Amino acid sequence: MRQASCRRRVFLGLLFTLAVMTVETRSRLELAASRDAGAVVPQSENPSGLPLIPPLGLDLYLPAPPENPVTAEKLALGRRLFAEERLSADGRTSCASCHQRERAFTDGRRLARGVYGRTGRRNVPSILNRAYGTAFAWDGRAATVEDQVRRAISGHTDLGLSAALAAERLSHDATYTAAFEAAFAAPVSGEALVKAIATFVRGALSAGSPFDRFLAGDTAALSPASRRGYTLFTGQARCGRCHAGPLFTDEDLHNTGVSWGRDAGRFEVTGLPQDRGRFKTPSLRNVALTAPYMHDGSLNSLEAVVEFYNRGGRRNPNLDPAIRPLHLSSDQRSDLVAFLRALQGEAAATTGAALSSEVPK
Amino acid sequence: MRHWRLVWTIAAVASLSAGIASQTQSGHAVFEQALAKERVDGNLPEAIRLYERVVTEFASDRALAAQALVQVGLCYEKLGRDDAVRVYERLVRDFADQEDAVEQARVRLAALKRPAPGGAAATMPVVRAFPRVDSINDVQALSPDGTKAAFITYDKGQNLAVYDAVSQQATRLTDFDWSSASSWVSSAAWSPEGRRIAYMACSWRPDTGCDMRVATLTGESRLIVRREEGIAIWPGPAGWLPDGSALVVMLGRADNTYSIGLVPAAGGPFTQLRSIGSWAGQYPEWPKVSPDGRWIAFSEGSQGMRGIHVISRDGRTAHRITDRPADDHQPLWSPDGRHVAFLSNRNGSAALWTVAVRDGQAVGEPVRIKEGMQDANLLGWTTRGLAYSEHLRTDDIYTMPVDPASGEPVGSPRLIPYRRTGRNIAPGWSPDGKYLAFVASSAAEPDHRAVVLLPSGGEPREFPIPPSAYAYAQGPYDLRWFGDNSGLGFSGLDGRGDGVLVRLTLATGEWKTYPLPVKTWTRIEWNADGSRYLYARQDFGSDDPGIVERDLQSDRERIVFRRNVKSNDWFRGLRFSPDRRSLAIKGTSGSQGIVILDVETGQTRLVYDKAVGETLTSDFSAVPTWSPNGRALLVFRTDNPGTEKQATDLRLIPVDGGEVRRMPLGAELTRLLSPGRGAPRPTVRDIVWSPDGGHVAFVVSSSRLETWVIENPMALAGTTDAGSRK
Repeated sequence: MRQASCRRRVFLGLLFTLAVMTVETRSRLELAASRDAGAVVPQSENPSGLPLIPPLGLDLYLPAPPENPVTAEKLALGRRLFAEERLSADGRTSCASCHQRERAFTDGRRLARGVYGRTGRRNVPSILNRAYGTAFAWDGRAATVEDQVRRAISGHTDLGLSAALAAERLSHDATYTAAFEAAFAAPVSGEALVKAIATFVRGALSAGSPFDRFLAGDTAALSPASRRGYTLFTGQARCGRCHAGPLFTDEDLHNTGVSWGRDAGRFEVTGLPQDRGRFKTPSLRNVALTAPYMHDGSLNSLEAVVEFYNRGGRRNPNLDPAIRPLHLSSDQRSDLVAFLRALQGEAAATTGAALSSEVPK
Repeated sequence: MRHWRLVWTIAAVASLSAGIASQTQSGHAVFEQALAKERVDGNLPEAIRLYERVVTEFASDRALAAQALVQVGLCYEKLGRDDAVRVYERLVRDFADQEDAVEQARVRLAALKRPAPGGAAATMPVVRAFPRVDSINDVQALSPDGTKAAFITYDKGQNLAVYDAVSQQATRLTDFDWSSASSWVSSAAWSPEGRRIAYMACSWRPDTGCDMRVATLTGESRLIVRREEGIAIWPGPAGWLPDGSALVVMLGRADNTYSIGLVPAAGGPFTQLRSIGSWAGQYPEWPKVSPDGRWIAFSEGSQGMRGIHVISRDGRTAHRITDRPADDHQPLWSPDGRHVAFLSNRNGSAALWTVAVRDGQAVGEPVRIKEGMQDANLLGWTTRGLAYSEHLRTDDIYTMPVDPASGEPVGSPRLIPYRRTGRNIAPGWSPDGKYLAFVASSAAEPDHRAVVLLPSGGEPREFPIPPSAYAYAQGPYDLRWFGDNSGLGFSGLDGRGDGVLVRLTLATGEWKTYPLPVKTWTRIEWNADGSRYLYARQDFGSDDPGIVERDLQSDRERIVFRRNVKSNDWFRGLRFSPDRRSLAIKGTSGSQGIVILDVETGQTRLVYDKAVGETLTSDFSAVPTWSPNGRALLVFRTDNPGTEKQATDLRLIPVDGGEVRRMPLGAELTRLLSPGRGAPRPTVRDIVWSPDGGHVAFVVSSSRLETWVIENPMALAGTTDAGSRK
């Protein structure tokens, strides 16, 4: 049995090597131009060890820290851990409980609901494309993906368990022991657990939207309403002031007046008066799937969001100067919503196999 | 005998009188004479003599003497004489208390006194001038063999042209004109074989974006990236892959974000490699591809703290190759791909550095090549050397006595008594007439400051403008006083491209910024106490162009004037009448005319329009000045529409109708505005009439671009500059 297993591994290895050689002979431009979301290519020697190609519209360069490069093994492990309920204090909650793939990794609720059904203070943000992010959580308190993962595992209204304890639970599972060995050449540990999940988050990419295709030359990809909406987005509606760049977020924090007086936002991190009421600009990719909106989930539809900004947000002493009444007509508001819907990615999925809530035995 | 005694007596008295006369001439006046000799006449030996007179005869004014020594050194440099080093050393030694001048001397000494490794002068980097391609000399890039220059020509539009340094011939490759339906050219990137040039062709409409095209040296252009209606992108060609298959592009978007990527040379989709943050709202620099095509170097970082990065051509790998708290920017690959040159202020002054690179990573410490690069723009590194352009611009403020009734010059123009020269703009008299305010900076200290001084001299009050307040490259142009003399303010754009109002309270010296509800440049004026201001909504940045009054505290706005028909004209300048009831507006008629706006009623009337064959000086800051009695406007009339505007006379325009009075400039002013030998023609702008009517102040500007090639720049490779760190 062991011999057969060994031969199988050798055979698969040879196949893999052949695939590497085949793929490597293709020009990089061809790869980039024809990339599908989640296409797997051989691991290179660079620090990111990038075994996947970001979809159309995202940078080919996928940032990853030198101490946690992206590898196929970590992606696979991270995918499994993402659905692993043993990481939670109640043993019934996983990352995937809130970050549901079919909702672009949000949960459709106004406020997050974590371990033991505890309700959080804020809406569940999507994890898509966060590999490119530089600030995490609604108040920007986490500076890296790893940091955010660590906080989520231990958060009282998240999973409620320390990474070390979670690792302890998994260390008795031989399949995890093997997976961690393959990914890290080390036993199960809290830090490795965090790194694996962070790697999975980095691999959660989505783009290739109609807007991306339009920019790439497919002039029919955007409807006339969407095109008008884009003009408004970067012009009169001023959305591009904050929702900028390929990710449609400036990774900065702004005060739009949402939940003013009820949630201090960034102020809780810095203590600076000018940070009161400032929250992170979320990405607008796949925004049609991530209702309800705003950090408190107070707006149920894209139309409501557009109307909120059309009125000039909610006036308060710290209101961002970019927020002001927009004087958009009804048709213009509709066009803007049409454009937002055109940011729907082709496949809001991670690379490789579909996410499963079942833990393999 | 008596006869000869009389003659000798008269001669002695005459000599004594001359001596007394020269003594009574102020040091500043002699300095001005020297400056005119240097910059207007191009008579450097005479200028040196006069500067040296300042140093010896007016030694008690140490600031002036030190500045005169700086000018002596610069003159010797232009003459190619080694005496420059001696002069700068003397300045450093004997005028240690004059920090500004000493700093300038140190910078020049560092540039001039490069020790030769091994003592072989022939291996030293040598800087040679590349021939001027035309009068403007806006060179974009040199060909790979260094013999041709792609440049922008402005004769009949903004077009791409090529200058061949061997044949000394220039050829225009595109054929756009100045009409709003045409396009304008920006950027140029030579193909590896040196026979094609990629460039951007942009619409004059700001929301439309640009094409990217490739032109052959015979003027045939092919579209590579087409601009789409309503989707504004700016595909800037930054270079070609060595096999010519694709172009490296910096793609700009309407939301002011940028990405580096590749576009097939035959046309095709943009492959996005790396998005970068723009620096303080400015345009990012163009990336540079290595000679082997494997790596792309670019700069990125926050304001004043950029670093040099490289990314692999496939976007997989990225490294930072400079990592010091300094502003490292404008990377350039050496022809052998083993070094990256860049500009940096890491040693306290702008200099050219290189760092060895292998497999996309830095090897060893950077080496300093050349100092004095504060105005430099690196163009390329060819087999003939490292080419850069230098934008040398001077802006100096003069005052001139005039007739209080007519504004006609009655005396000579004089440089204002301020120790820094070369970058002073936006003069304005305080409403009570006691002071003159302006914005100053200098090559040695590029940060801007508002300066308030007595026109007759004395210690100026200087108010450094917070560098984060605004993101203008050249400084604010609409510095204006509050009506009650208590403060000043101007408009600008912040790092995000949003309008910002910058306000100074003189009593406290405190600067404060306020959001300005515009997304383009604008012009402002203040009410009496600075609590409200008027600003212009430009046609191209707003659906509701006009003049608006806004309250600083409440943000409440009142539309003072609404332009009902959108045009391509801009509000180029606003100026309050002395009673602050009327606003003179430049440039609203679509023909660069002057309009008077009643601020209360919103009624307008055109008081001066362009006549056939004439233009008014139409620089951004050109706005007429009011007569002290508020009944007329004074403005310079210019000739030669295009890029070289020559002021020919002064015009006094009654605001209630009546004949326009034309007045000559006077011999002194005419001479000041005449081009010197080999020097560019100065232009005049920003005229302001003092409240007592006795003087006007104005800015005289000259600008020129020079292209240089540093031959053998790697002569210092292998040596380590003392104190340099990666």
